[in-house]
Amino acid sequence: MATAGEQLRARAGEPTGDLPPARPAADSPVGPGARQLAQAAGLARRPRRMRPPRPAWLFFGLLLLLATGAWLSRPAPRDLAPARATVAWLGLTDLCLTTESPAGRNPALAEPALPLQLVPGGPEPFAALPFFAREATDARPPHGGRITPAHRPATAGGR
Amino acid sequence: MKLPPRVEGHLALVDRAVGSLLRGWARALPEVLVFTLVIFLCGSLLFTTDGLRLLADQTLAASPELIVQRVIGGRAVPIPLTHAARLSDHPAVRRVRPRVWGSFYDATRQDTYTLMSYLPGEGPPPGARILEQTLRLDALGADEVLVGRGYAREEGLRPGDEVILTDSTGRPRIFRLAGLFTAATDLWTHDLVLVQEPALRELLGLAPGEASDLVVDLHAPEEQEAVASRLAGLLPDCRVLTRDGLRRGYHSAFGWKSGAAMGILAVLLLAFATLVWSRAAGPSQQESKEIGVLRAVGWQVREVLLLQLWRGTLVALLAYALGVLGAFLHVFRFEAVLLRPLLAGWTSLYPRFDLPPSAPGGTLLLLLFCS
Repeated sequence: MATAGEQLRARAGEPTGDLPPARPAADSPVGPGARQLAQAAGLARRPRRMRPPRPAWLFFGLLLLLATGAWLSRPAPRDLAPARATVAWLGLTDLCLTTESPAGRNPALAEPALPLQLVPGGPEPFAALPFFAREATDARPPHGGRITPAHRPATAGGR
Repeated sequence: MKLPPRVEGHLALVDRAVGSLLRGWARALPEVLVFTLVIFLCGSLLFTTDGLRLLADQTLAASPELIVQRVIGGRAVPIPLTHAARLSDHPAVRRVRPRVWGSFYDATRQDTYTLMSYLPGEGPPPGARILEQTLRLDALGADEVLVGRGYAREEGLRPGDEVILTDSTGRPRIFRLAGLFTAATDLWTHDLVLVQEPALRELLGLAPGEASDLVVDLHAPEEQEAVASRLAGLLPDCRVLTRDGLRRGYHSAFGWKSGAAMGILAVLLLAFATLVWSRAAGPSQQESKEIGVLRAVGWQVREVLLLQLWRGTLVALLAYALGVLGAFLHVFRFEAVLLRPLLAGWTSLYPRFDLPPSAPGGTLLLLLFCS
């Protein structure tokens, strides 16, 4: 069905858009009747002018592009075998991320992140010095705690 | 492509919202920028913390199950090797290894190095590429050392150079640098100086019958908590740390630092919340005018509200995508340069290491939810 614009153009004698102005049959390079055949096959339609993409698709395409960029910026999986072999060989337990600075170095030497560390409740810089990694035993009573029978040493045959 | 009318209607609203944002770009740009900054900072913080936790988990998996330290008056002191013999008799224990290690503070460079020993007969598993040079560890001389790349770089050393360390009496001892650890082990060996055990005992002033601590391998690693309790009862003057405890310690430390950093960011978040509130509390003059025009040309209230909703959603989505991309680039390409000193720890010999590609699905969803 023709659009309103096409109907107005047809009324004014202008080309309607689907086909160029009819040429004499003699001008046709493939002879009379070929245009009708091509039109029936849908080959003779003049290509429509491409509509600009919708802003919505452009926006979602931009999001897709950013998501792809984020995905591609992920690093490749690392080969941890050398690190694991070293850790297993030497029995290592501490990452090289901290030094013994608060304990072993001159405390007057300021460290950039010291204010975030040495506060009540702050973590021990060395994980092997247990603050959170507390001892895995409850055999000894805490200071000021009650001594329960579990804390008493077993004596042979005695009470 | 023919879309359902409802979808087509929403797409038309998105078209209009995009046009509205483009027309009022001077007003929308600050919103997007501030929002992107918030997502970038929160995302960087969460991705870095997740990566550090994953890194600690992945590498601690090869650590010994138990560490036994002797404690006198709350201080760790050298442990006699007779304790190792007593531990070895326990049926749950597979192997006990004494560790000899300590720290060495270089006052000139203000660096602290870690000195550690190894037994000449024991080496890494064959094929493990942990040294840059091809060396036979059992053929190294007593005065030859292996060092981490950080130490070598700081001291300007190359294989074959002399390494001078001061012993407990203040006398300098000269060693020869035999090899360097590879970059793949930097996170563990960056500040490490590996010396053969007899020489290190002399350096640290440690008696032959003592060790710094003991590491214990178990037949059943999953029983480490129970075995630790038994061993602590066996050696009342010692404390026993478990590998799971260390892992929890690292998680707590990274989580604590992440929380502290988030506290600092809270000021920014509050400022942003104020901005969002002021935007949500009422339309601006230009928006009122636009809404009036839309109502005048026949738009219904529901459609105007939908348009405003789409406008806010587009701003949030764009800022989310930009912020996450920036956080990914910052953390995984630029080694989280802005946050690493705050989150990872501090040391004068800071290793370079890539954070592992953690699976940030939960973190991404959390950020999206916040958006």
